[in-house]
Amino acid sequence: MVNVFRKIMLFTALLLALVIFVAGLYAGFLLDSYRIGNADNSLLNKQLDVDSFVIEKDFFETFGAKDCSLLLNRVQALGGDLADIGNTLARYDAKSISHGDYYEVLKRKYFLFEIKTYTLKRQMIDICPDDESNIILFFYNVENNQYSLNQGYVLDNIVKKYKNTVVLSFDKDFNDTALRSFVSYYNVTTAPTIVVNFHKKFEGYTPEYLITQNLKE
Amino acid sequence: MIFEIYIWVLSFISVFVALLWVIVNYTSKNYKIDNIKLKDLPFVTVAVPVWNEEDTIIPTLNSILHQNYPKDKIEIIVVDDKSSDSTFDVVKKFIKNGNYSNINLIRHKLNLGKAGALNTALKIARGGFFWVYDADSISSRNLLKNMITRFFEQGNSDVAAVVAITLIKNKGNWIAKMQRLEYIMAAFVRKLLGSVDTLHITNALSLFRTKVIRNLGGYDTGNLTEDLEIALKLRYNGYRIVMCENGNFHTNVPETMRKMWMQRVRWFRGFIHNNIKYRKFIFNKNFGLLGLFQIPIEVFFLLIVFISVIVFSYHFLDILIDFIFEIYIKRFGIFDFTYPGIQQLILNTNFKLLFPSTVVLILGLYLYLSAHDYVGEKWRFYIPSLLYLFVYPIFRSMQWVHALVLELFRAERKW
Repeated sequence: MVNVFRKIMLFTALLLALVIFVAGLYAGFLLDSYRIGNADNSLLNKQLDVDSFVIEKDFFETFGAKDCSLLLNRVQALGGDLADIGNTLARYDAKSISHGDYYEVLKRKYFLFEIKTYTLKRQMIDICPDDESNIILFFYNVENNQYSLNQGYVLDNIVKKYKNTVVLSFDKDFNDTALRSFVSYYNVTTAPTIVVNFHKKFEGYTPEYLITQNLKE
Repeated sequence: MIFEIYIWVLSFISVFVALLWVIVNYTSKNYKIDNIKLKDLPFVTVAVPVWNEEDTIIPTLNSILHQNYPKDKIEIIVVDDKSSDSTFDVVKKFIKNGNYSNINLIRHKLNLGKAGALNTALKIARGGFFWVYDADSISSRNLLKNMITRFFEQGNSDVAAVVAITLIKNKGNWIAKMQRLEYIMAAFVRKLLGSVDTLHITNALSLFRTKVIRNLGGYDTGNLTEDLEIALKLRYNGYRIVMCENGNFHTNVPETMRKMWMQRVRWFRGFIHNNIKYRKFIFNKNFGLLGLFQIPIEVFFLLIVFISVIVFSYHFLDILIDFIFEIYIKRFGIFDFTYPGIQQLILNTNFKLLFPSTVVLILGLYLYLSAHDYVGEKWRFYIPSLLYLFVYPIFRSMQWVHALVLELFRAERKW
């Protein structure tokens, strides 16, 4: 009788522990759905921003009423918002317990927006050659990433000091056709790799002063 | 990812064990039986092993002499294990001044350790019960009577040892205060172990059936934790150990980090050594829940401690290196961050850890309060409580590693 009682205690504890864990998992699952919704919403807004910008650019080009100052500010703002979305996505991904595929889709969407923004920025140089802003591509590596992390800190510093600078970061090994072409175009073989203002490429960890030498004030 | 999974597994085990203790506590009864009157109280030998105890021995002897127990039913054997101070003379003078014919003072020519001193007392003990009484302990007046009573309760004929609640005497500094909580929790855990018949520990004030421990060969000399060894020996031979829950005793605890560290390392070495010695307990159904659950889970926890030290050290080092780089690169820019809003705060919550951790914390607090209630001490919230809960486990893990290294390299076993 005593042994049966002890067994009941053990199984009750095990059962309750499982219930608590299932409840925790369910809460985590709900939170993941909410996170996905939140990130997806941000990316949807970003999609509208990009579409709006493209329409505006086409309008100005078509009707010959270009306002470089306005367009440059818009494209700069697109890049700035993207960095925030990227940070949020990375945080959510680290805490997720489910929806792994969704996060991959969102990351893919995010990288594609970055490429789109980069291309728009490049087109703007032809339309408005007096552009005084900077754009930096940052190719990082998720695995074994201390150098990439350090490079990230350096770029954070630069963005703080040079308000006219936008950093677009890419997981160099992410599997997407457009991103692969992009990586191959710049012949990125190592992480971190940095490309400043479309042309100047640095491989490996690059200190702040080397990057800032190539920036427009 | 591996770290996350490890934390998750660890959290699950913590939730399970905490729940189990809560259930055991909820269903167990307290053996606080007062006023049981035995017609014939048995003769008891009190064994007091001493080594350099000149400052504490007299209050200890007075505490024994003031027990609410017939004077003609107690003999005290003080075994001086070759003290280098004046312990022997102090006791001799005390006996002479008080004319205590029931105190027998023996002096070892060689230092044989506590187990050796107890064996000396055991050889000449006349009592049917053998009360081991550490020389720095003070007990409540009815303790002996209450402990004896437990042997005579119905169904306790196979009980070979009764242990009492240990509390601390010196509560001076924060190290002692931290140990106060540890002792309260330890007493409570023993009560829980006792209630499911898996108690396998004796302590500084334990009462034994003389014949049983004599037949089993007495104490293992050279063992760093002879109290654990004798307990395991009793359990191994089919005897039970129970708690005496009415009455307690107070003992001195180390007041410096170094002394506390050395004491704990000695205990943990003893735990490792004795669990290897009595490894046949593990998963042996002949020993019931003790063999099938309690001892395996203690050994398992020991493994968890060692793995955790490695995993957490690696993780901590990783974070530290990253933090140093971040400070070096960003300088004061590291303090530039924006506070998240409530929505972001919720979305950034790591439920994998938060949920089980919260449950463990709530259950832990319940057990913590129950433990205070059990030993009759008031719960106080002060800095040592926080240190005990959040900092002490780190030191404890390191003490376990220290003990393991000493055992692996077969370092000399000395007190």
